[in-house]
Amino acid sequence: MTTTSHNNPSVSSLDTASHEADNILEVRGVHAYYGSTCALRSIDLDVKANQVYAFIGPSGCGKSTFLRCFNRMNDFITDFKIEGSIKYRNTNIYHTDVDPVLVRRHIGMVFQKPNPLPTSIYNNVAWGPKINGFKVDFDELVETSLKKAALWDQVKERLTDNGYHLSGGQQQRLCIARAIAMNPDVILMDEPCSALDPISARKIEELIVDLKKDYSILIVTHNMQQAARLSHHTVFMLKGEIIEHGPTHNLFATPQQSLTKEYITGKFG
Amino acid sequence: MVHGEELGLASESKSVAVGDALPHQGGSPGCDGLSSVSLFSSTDKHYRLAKWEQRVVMVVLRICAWCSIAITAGIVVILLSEAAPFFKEVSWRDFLFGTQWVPLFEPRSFGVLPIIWGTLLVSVGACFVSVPFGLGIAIFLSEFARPRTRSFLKPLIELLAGIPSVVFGYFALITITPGLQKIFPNIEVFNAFSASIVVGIMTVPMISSLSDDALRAVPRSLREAGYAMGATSFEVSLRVVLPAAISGVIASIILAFSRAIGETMAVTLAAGATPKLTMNFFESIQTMTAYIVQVSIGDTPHGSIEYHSLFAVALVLFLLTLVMNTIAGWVLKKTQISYN
Ligand SMILES: Nc1ncnc2c1ncn2[C@@H]1O[C@H](COP(=O)(O)OP(=O)(O)OP(=O)(O)O)[C@@H](O)[C@H]1O
Ligand SMILES: [Mg+2]
Repeated sequence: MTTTSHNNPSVSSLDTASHEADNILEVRGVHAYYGSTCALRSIDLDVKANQVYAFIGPSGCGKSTFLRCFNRMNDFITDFKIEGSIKYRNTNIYHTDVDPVLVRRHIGMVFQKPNPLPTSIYNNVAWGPKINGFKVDFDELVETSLKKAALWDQVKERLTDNGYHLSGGQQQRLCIARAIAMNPDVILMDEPCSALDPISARKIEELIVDLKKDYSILIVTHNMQQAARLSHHTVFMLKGEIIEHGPTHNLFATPQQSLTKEYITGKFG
Repeated sequence: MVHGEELGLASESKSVAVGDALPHQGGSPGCDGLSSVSLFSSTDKHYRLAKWEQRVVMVVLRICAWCSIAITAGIVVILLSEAAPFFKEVSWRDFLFGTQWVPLFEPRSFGVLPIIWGTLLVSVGACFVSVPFGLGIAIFLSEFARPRTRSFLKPLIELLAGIPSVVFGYFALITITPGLQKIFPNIEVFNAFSASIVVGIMTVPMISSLSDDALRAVPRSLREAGYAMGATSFEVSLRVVLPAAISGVIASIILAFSRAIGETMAVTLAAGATPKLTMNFFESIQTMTAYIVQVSIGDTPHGSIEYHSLFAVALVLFLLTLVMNTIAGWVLKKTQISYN
C-alpha cells in the first residue's frame, strides 16, 4: 500500500503530524472538472470515523459531485477529471494502482432514488456479497442486514418477492440493507430521503441515527433541519468550494462566514 | 409594427397547423379583437377550421387502421376458403399427425409433420447462431462500445437485414456448404446445416438491434447500484443489465425465431426439397416455405389437391408465426418491470 499520495505528496506529509489517528478519509486539494467546467475547487476535508457528515448548499454547488468522488462513481462520466487526493485509511483511492472496484467494497452508497435490482428482496441484499465472493452464511447475512435497516419484520415472510413490490420508503431501506450487507466502513448517501414522503423520510433518519454507531456516514441533504438533527459535522458548499465546515451545532448556532449565515437563514438557495 | 404583424400571423398559422382547438390568446396582435369577442364561441373561424381538420385526420387514420385489419382478415378468409377443399379430401388428423409428406407423386400422402419438422429444425438451428452472436453484439454495443464505434457498427449490422434473402441462400449454397464439405465430407449438397447457419446470420441483426435497445433502456440508476456494490463492468452488464432487460431480449429472440420460421428463399436454396423427419443436420430436408415455393413455381393445375395443399400449409405457417408473436408480446408484458 502506498502511504503517500502520488498527486500531492507535500501536502499530506505536512499534515500528517497534526492528524488524529481516527481520520478515515482525508481530502486534499481536490479539483474536479466536467470537461472544462470546474465543479469542485481546492477542497480539503478530514472525515473522522463513526461520525455523520452532512453536506449542504444550494442546488448545483457540487455536493453530489463531491460525494461521488469518494467511491469513484464519477469515473463513468467520460469527460470527468479529478486532481488532488482522497485518502481512505491512508491510501489515495485515486492512485494509479488502486482498483475502483475494490474502493467501492469499502465505501458503499445509497442513492437519491431507491434503485433496487429487479430481483427478489433476498437477492438484492445477497447480490453484492455474492459477486464479491464473501464466504458467509447468506441467510444470516440477509437477515442481519435487513434487521439493521429496520426492514426485516416487514419482509421476512416475503423474501422472494421482487424488490420493486415494496413501497418507496421500504425500497430505500432495502438499498441501505444492501449497502450494509457489504460490510462497508463508510456509507455515502445522496439525498436519501428526498424522494420519500415525510413519514418514510423520518424512518430513514432514525435508521441513520442507529447506523452511525457502526459506520461513517456522509450525507447530502437539502433539508437543514435534517442536517441539524442527524450530523456531527456540517459542510457548507457553494459554487464548488467549501465555504465553511465544523461541528453541526457550532455551524448552525454561530456561523463564521456571512454566506453560511445567509444560506442557513434562508436568504438564498 | 410590420414585425409584430408577422409574429401574429405566424402564431395564427401555427395554431391551426397543430390542430389546437383553443382560441387565440389575446396577446397576439393579429387577431386581438376577434378572439376577445368570441372567446368560447364555436363560430370562431380558426376554431372551426382546426376542428374540421382534426376530424379529417382522424377519419384518415381510422381508415388506415381498419385497412390493415381488413387485409389481414382477407388473407385469413382466403387461406381458410382455399384450404377447405383440401380438407374435404384429406382429414385434418392425417394432415396434422401424418409422418409422410408425398404431395406430388402417387401414392400421395399429406402428413404435414415432416415439413413442420424441417421448419423447426432450421429455425432452432438458426437460433444457435443468432442468439450467441446477436446477444454478444448487443451487449458489446450497449455496454462496452465507445459512442464512435457504436455509431458505425450498429448501422453496419443492420445492413445485414437489408440483404435480399435469395443472396443469402446463394451464399449458403456456393460458399458455406462447400466449406462445410471440407470439414464434414459426408454432408449433402443441400443440407439443414448451412441453411441454419445462413438463417442464423440473417436474424442476427434482429436480435442485436432489439436487444441493444432493451439493454440501453435499463436505467443508469441500476447500473450505478451494481457498481456501488463493488461489481466490475462485466458483472454489471451480465448480472444487472441483462436480467433487467430480459423481457426485451427474450422478445427479440422469439421474433427472430418467428422470422426464421417464415424465411423462404434462403432455406429453399440451401436445404433442398426432401421432406424428412430427421435429426441429421447434414441431410437435405424441406421446410413449409420451401414446399410452397416448390409448388408455386411448378405447373400445378389450379384447383388440384396440390394447389389446395398450399393453403393448408400456409395456414399452419400463419398459425405458427401468430403463436410465436403472441408469445413474444405476452413475455414482454409479463416480465416487464417499470423502474419508476
Ligand atoms: N455529468 C455531468 N456533466 C457535466 N456537468 C455536470 C454533470 N453532473 C453535474 N454537473 C455540473 O456540476 C455542477 C455540480 O453538480 P452536482 O450534481 O454535484 O450539484 P449538487 O450540489 O448535487 O446539486 P443538487 O442539490 O441539485 O443535487 C453543476 O453545475 C452541474 O451542472
Ligand atoms: Mg445532487
